[in-house]
Amino acid sequence: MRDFLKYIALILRVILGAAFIYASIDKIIHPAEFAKIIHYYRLLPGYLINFWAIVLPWIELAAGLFLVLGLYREGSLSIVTLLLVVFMIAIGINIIRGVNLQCGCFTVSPDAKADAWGTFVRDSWLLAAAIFVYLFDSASTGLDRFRLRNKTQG
Amino acid sequence: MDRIRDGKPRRLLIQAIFIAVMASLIGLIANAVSPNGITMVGTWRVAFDSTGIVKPEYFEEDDTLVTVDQAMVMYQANSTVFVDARYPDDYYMSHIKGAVLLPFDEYDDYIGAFREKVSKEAEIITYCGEEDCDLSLYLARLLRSEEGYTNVYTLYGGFELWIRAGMPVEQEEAVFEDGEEQ
Repeated sequence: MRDFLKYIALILRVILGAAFIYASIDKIIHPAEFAKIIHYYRLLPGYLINFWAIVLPWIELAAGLFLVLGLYREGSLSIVTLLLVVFMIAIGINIIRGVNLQCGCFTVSPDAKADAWGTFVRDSWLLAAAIFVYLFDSASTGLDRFRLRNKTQG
Repeated sequence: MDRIRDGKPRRLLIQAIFIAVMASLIGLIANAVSPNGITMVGTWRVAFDSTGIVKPEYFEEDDTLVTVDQAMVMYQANSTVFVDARYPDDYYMSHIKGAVLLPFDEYDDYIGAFREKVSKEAEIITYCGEEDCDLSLYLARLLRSEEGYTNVYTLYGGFELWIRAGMPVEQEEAVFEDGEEQ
């Protein structure tokens, strides 16, 4: 049973990581468009918007890559979980304000459909996946097994 | 000890900070060398505060603004005429569903048809492209001062914010006088 849970956790970890890698690409290519979306969330002070638009996609990319590889899983999973919670709060505040925002999650195109509730629900699923990974993912299914083995031997 | 939950919180925190800091540094360097790079601090004007819209400096006392949220309510009540102040090409590409075209830059060519279509008492919202666009503002002033329209508002945030708020838009094919479609 534990093996079964371990492999489910592996699949979820890869899906979660891939989602974050995919989400980062359009934002990395179009930082100005992404900054605009952050501005429309009306949550961050103006002087932080561009900085956040520059660094956030790279943090998503790095955390996603590490999750897929199964390397430094503790750190990358913590980042992904924290980001999901932050995204859900940001979307939630705008839902309460009555603004159906484009989330800017996977694309920064202005033609993308705005679906704040859909985004909130999707992030909830991803968060549930992150919790499952936290509980059941094993170092033996990722590159962490080499890192931890070396550490033990050292 | 190979599951994440068995790890020490301290290790988790150190790893997370390490990844975030390294990724941020790479991001900042990549942004500095990228042709699409942006400045570290943008020129984002404070558009809203606790009292509502913060008017830009070029606004006059008579300018009446509505936020996208307010415009949505008016749109849904179906009693407001939305007027597109942008160039015709932009309008034909996409505009607020049901909006009437009255380009500020081709005002004289379009105002005749507009007068016939829209009564002086109608509730009107003018809009243009983006948050800091001003064509809609100038158009609203013209409609008030030259044409005597009394209920003229300007959509703050423009068409872009309308789209991003997921509100209805439509496309229209341009029809020339000889009946040929664009």
